[in-house]
Amino acid sequence: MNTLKIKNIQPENAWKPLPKSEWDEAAAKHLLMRIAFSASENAIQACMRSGLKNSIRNAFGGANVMEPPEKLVEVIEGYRTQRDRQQGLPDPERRKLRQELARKSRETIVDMTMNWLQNAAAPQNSAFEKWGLFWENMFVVTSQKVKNPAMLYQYQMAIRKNSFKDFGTLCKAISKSPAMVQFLDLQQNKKGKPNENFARELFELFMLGEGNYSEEDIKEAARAFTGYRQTDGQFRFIKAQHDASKKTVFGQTGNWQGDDIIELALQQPAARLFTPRELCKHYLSDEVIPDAYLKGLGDDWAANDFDLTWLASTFFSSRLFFSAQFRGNKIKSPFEFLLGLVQDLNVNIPPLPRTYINALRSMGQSWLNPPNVRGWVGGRHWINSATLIQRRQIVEGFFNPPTERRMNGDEKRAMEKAKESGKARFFVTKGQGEAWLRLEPKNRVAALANEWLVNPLNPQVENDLIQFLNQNINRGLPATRTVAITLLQSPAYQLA
Amino acid sequence: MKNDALNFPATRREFLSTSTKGAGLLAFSQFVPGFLRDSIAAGAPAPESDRRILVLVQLAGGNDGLNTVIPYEDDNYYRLRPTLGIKKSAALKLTDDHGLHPSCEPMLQLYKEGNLSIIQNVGYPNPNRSHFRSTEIWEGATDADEFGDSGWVGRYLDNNCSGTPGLGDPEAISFGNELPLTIQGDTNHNLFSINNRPGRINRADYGLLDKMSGEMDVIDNSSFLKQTMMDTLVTEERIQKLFTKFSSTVPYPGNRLGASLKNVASLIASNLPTRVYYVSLGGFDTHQGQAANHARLLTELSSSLAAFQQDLQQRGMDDQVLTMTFSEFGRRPSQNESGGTDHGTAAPLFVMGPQIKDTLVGKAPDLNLKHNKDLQFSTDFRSIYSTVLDKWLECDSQSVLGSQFDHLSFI
Repeated sequence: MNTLKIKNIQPENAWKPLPKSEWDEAAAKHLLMRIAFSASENAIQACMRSGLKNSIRNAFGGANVMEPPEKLVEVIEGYRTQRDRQQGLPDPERRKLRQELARKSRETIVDMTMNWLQNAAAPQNSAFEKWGLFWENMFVVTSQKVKNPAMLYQYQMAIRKNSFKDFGTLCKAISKSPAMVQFLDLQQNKKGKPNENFARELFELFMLGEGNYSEEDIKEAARAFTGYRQTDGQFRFIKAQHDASKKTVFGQTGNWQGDDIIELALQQPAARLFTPRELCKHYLSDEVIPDAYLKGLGDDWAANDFDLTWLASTFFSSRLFFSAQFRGNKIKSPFEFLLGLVQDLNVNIPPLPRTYINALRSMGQSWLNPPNVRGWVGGRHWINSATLIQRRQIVEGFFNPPTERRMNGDEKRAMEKAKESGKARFFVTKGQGEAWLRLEPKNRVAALANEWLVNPLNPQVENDLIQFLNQNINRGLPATRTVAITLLQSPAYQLA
Repeated sequence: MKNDALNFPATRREFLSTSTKGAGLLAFSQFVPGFLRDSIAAGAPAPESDRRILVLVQLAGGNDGLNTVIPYEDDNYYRLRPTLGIKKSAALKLTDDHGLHPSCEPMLQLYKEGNLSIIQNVGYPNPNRSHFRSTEIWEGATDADEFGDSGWVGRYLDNNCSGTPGLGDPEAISFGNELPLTIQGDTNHNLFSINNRPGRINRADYGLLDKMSGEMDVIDNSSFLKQTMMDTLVTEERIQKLFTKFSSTVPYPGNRLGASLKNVASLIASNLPTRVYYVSLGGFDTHQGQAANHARLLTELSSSLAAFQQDLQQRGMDDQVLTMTFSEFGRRPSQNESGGTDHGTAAPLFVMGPQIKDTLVGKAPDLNLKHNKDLQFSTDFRSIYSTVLDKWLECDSQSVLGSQFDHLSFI
């Protein structure tokens, strides 16, 4: 990963608040695109009325978390009673029960993913959920390994409950989440037989980064986390399996327990750089921000007790965040693309997992299931001919709904159910097209481009689009749909 | 990226004109699809005489096997399907005790000619009855309780077996709205998916998208995106042209599957080095009013497959192509109260081509079942995959499927 050369701004000024004079509609658009998924004209105007600080507060405030999937209770019960039910049963029946539970688990993860997508697509939840994605991509667990949906649900709730407290509290909560206990083999970590997996990733991928700890630190720290267990999705600390003897980590000796190790790691200078660096990668630039810039933010963050609310509000209101070189140059992840698209089109995500979960996977992203513990690499890695074709087809899909004939029974039922609950706006309507049609071709192109694209249209391309509408004036609606689809399928739309 | 960006032609027109003249190709060969590059180098793409192609036909929704291959001598069949059962007199006789659905006349012909193999009662242990999950199992070729992010053809592509296309050529092409898991590997491949409704082939953007991809830009990632999009569009346009240039003279039925297979035949005839094609026919989830719907679907399947095979024969390319159907599950032996059938387990599948050695493979299901009980499969679908991988695609099946599955006798 390249380190970026920062233009026109000195480290000492980087994190100062954006001057009032520079807070304009373009800045509001940048804020909205990065803090969440889309920037409608209405949302930009609301930001202009609120001012920068309040816009940030409003973006995060008032968010709802998703409803747990209906089947979750049943699955939790299934795991809880698994052993009792299996006792004394012959092998084939035991296997059958296990497989039945695995099947239900998988279906529940699908339901949960759909719930999460639909929840994150609601504008009032978007910034909070994007913040959640940031932490999920840092403290990685994968549904590939953690198959119990109850643990995954608890894990993502632990992130949402703690991600605006102080960083130490968040780290401690994650270290005790059953999903993490299972994912990084804390379950196997016991007195006399330490398993280093969690301790290593805690330092390397969660708190400090490579090169900022010794192998000895990992060995010693692993002993402090002995006795962390989960049973049926509940965290437990088993004292008998905990190594209570002295450990020396980062040169400090004591009868350390897991939480102490997190506190010791926080005192390392690298901890001040690591999270700000990851934060910039998620929100600002695929290229790495130089340490000279990160240091200022990290030191002040440490002075503010690693408070995450402080970090978010300082970061999103900073001069560096709004610096010209970062505007409109970030490639949307598949989640950002899909969630932004449904907001731009003012539709809900149709309850069709076969279509949307598969499409997301084709584009390279499945919820709570990054390819490995490092998380998604992101940036240009999202883009190749196959993923671009998939992105284009998703856009097409919102303009050309699937026919009933193409749906299977599950899908028809889900669509019926959604219609009954009033969340039936899944596809671009004729009325939407007619509203666009009321504008003159020139203004129509300008309005759509302005609403959907983060960078201004090249004047030549703008003319081509206007000309196309003028040439097809007698078939206004289909021609406008063509322009709309083109804008949303364009390379420009992939940028935030 | 920056240096390349400087060399990249400013417009698609410029791109196409330079590339057809063969000038300056070195400067941006990275962006030229391989087959364009090769055809410029050699004047025309070199046909590969020993090229072996696989065409997959997905029957989405769960095809009712018992009404596709009908056990008309089994009283249990008529006990389980008092009204939905196909009468012996209507079934197209295959053997003394089995017949095809009356809509499958063209497939009966293929069978009699020895070009169609019926593999009976195919499924897998611990069947899953969710469309989503069972499709995933078939496409990923995993155990029922195993979860992966890649498909069996994708992993075949990962293995980089001999005969896979060069850089920039589509390695697999699917027709439909999404890239099927089947063709996705653990590593990135050049995969194409084309949406071809009859009479309305894919892009209705009148070149506008090309325009939005052509102009160069000061923004770094924007240039990168435009280059990738341009690459995709050039390949796409080339493929669209091949549909027309190599269009068939054989009449295809005017339905969706016919249109897809017609296009597949054109691409095969054009000598595109793509090895795998994937087409899909949906609507097999016949919970109610099955009789008429299933007949319509099987007509579409049967007439399209026959036209496709005839087309390949006329072009003298049939010996290069093996075609295979699959569906996520069969349906419940007992008919339900709505004149349909619910999700079940095993079902027969079809393999088509002149390579067929055995036209009826595997054991028919045992129908001595209580009401609403499911079939017990007799052939694991991965045995079919392993046969196709080892014997047809010449790729070690164990490295794709994770373990060894017995070969079958159909090829």
